[in-house]
Amino acid sequence: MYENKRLGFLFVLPFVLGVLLFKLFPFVMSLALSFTEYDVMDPPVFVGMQNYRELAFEDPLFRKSLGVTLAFAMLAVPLRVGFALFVAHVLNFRMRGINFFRSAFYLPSILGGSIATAVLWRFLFARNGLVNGVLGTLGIEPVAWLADEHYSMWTIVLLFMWQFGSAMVIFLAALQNVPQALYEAAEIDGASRWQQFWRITVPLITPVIFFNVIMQMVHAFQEFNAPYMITEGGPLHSTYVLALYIYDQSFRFFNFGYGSALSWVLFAIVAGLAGLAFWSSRFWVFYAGEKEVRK
Amino acid sequence: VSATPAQHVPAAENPAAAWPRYVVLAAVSILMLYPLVWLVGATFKSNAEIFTQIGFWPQHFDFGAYARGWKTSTEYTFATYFLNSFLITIRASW
Repeated sequence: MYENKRLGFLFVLPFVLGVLLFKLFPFVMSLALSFTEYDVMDPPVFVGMQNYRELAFEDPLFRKSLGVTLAFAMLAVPLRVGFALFVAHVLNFRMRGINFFRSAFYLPSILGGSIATAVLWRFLFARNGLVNGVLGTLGIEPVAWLADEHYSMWTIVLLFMWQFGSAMVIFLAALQNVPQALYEAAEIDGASRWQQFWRITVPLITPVIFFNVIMQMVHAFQEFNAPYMITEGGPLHSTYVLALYIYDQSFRFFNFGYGSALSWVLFAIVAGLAGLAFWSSRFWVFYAGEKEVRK
Repeated sequence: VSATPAQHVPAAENPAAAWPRYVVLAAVSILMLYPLVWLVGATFKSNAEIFTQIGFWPQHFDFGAYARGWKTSTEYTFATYFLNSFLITIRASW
């Protein structure tokens, strides 16, 4: 027994070492660096709460990018999750060609947050790109998607929404677990399709809605590739998300201390929002068979 | 009674009721796929054509982009970059 245990520890050792060395160590280091001034060339200088004070009171660009990040998350997450649920609901029927549609909807998500998709998006939304070309044939004036600060955010949000596949797949699995008998009973009682969706489908899949919202929220707050590649944070910093600002401070201006402080603020915001979501979940998320435990 | 009891998936009642579903699905799949199809077409196009035509089929096929992409604008070929990505993938997934 004891011998087996030692062998087991030996087997998990590479993983544990990896996590400690490559995950926990940088994590702790960045927290430590956030209280210093560090430009890589010289050793870090301890400055206490200076970085945090600066970003809280003296940095308009931090406030701007925080606002952009929150706006992006508030637009992109409901749009992606809502669209994923809508498409999953439409797809959740046995019909001819269903596998084609499922693959088609998942394809953009397989490409992930890759540079290639960002470059594609840049072409599509260029001044004389495909989107304006299609709008032109409909008689709509070309829109400066990337150069106009009122539209630049939407091009990024649209890309995020376009890659709704992973949320959709999870929704599909959840929808297939809703007992068919409930719909049959509701139909006999005269419930419309609309009522069935809101009174049966949605309540029964709230745990999955909750999961998707949390996951997509975390993704949205970390969004980097799209604003970096497509709009470069512009125009007028209208797509300058926090991840970009952290990158610029750290790797362009070599203010690693300040960059670390920014990262920890972002982390605190995401953790806080996730905590808020978990707290709120007791009021709207329904776990079958867990009613007594949760009281 | 469903033939596959494990899956609670309703069948579309009848063809007449299914068609709105197909319209929605077809419209969404065009939005999903056309940019990708267009991108494949664009790899054969000249820059001028990319930014003037909305069709995906090139007017004349130009394979030059593939040749330039293989050579890259650096002293290394595409193979070097691919190998780097490949090695990172191998190492990152053990």
